[in-house]
Amino acid sequence: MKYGLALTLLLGTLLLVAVGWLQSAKAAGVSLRTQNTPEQAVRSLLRSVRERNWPKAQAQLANADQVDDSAFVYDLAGGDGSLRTYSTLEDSEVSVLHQNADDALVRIKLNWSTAVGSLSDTRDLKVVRQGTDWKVFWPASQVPKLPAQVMAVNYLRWDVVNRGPEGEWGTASIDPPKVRIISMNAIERSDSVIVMGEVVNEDTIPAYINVNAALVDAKGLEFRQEGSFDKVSHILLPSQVTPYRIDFPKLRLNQLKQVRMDANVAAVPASADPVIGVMNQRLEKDALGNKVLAGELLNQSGQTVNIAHVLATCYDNNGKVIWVSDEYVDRALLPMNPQPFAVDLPADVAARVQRFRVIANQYTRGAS
Amino acid sequence: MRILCRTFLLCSAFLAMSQAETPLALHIPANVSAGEAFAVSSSGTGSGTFYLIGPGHVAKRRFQAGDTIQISSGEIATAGTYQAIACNGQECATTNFYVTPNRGAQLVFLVHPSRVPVSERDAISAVAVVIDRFNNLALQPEGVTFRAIAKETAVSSSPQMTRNGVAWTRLNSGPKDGAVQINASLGQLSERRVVQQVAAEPCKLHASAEHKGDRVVLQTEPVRDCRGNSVPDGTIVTFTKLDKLGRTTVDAPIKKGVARTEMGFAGPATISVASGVVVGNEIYMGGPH
Repeated sequence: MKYGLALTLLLGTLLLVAVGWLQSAKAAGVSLRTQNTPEQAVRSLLRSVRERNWPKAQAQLANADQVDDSAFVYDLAGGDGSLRTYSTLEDSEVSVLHQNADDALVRIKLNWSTAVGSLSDTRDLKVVRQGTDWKVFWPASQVPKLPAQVMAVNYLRWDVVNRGPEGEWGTASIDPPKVRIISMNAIERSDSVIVMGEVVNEDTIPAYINVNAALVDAKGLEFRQEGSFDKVSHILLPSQVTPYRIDFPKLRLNQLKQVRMDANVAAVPASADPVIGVMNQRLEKDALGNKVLAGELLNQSGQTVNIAHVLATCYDNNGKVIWVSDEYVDRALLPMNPQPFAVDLPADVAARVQRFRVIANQYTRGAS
Repeated sequence: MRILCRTFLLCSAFLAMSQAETPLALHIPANVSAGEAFAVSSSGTGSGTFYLIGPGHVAKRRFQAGDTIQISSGEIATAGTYQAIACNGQECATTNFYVTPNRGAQLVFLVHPSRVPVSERDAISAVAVVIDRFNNLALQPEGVTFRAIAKETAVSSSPQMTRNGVAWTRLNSGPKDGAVQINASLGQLSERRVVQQVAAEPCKLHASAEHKGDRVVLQTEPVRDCRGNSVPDGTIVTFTKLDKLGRTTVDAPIKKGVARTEMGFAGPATISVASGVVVGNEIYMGGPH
């Protein structure tokens, strides 16, 4: 009885310290329990990825000794100035596809927040039991290594020399390049009106273009205007064709009578390089069973393309543009190193596609 | 004394009558050119205020009737109709006069278009606008000579007289591609513009394929228009290969007259080539060697 109060206080203090420690560890994402299920193991790994705690993430792998540190980081955090290097893992979805006593197959959908919007990356991971814990078996990858070589490239570039200060009358500046909107199709999809088509540069110099659409109502008044933003290849080389797509959300097709198209064009300095080949384009189903237009991008120049953007045009059997879709590739395009891409296609569009055309835009750090 | 008073009254009356008969007036020279100072003579009595109201300037100053009023060059830099007003408290005199533009001192030269297809009639429009040193349109006729200088030829026009400050001509584009300098000259003044003569659409597009291991090297013959001019470098030529792996496309720019690319080879393939609306030949490649 003499020490009863002191003992009670001591026990209470120890209990509070333990609860505090557990709480702080939980907040910090530190697992104090065993990974009882494959899902828990994957979620714990993804927590570490989100925190960019690469040593901790790698320590949770079943095959940590086989996974190269730098390749693991390159795989998840990107490199070479790619879009992934400007991304953070916003959230993830984990679902167990099948499981037995010693291994499981888990599908993860990583939603990355990037400089150009959110991008998803779906992977199927094998999870294996090691003792009482489940651990993720990470597919071994390598940091792309290029053989040392000299690539002879004849770079072609246009510069625009404007005479005198801007706006000075009579200085006879460069005529804007001649571009033509060769097709336009307005469709209604869910609660949006989508205007799409193609533009060609009919001139002999590169053109910077921006396609705008204005919707006209029954009274002949323009009531909505939108630009193509990034759903177009803004720099068009001579004879090059680009698709464009302009979305008008929360609108019905019967609310408009006419669409007025306008292409803003300017002569700008540009380069004909790098040339990006779009290889092995085919319609297929992705891991989630969705129809995609897949292929590989091949950078045929000697410089690294940091961010690539794929624009796909789908035509029906009459040659009419029925869909324009785009996708950013979050890996850098190293010279002569193919990089896969997949552009989502709605199921109804995929069923009607007779022909498609894919072009690749590019952004290279330090290039104008 | 009576005679003296009558004489004084008579003189005063004559003086008053003489003054009443000389109303306030302004006298402007017949020809006034922009930027050239001149004097306005005035008549009348007393002092007053002189106003000069023009298209680009307004001035106000005191003056003494009968004196001349100096107008500086800066006050009449802009050509157009001016109004001179003199007021002495009882009355105002108003005169309108026209300031003509000075002689041509600058050329504004507009040439359109900056790029033109070869061998087109009246394809290039050249307009010269003559303005004086104060940026007034020089309305008096002046002779402007146009000159076109291509790689191998130079053609000059006879002097074209300006009408209302403007002289113009139309030129045919030459048969060869390349830059053409168009000059307009007025006395010692000369202005130069460059027009790019460019080839038309490719006339014939022909590509060949060379098998190199697991790759195919595709290259066009020199791409020319129907007059034999090289299609400008940078023009996109699209190579398309269809094989069991799908469709492969490369938009390759023409460089040094030819377009070239490489593709992987994975069995029988059909390869086609196109540029703009021109479709070239089709190549069929068999299985791997």
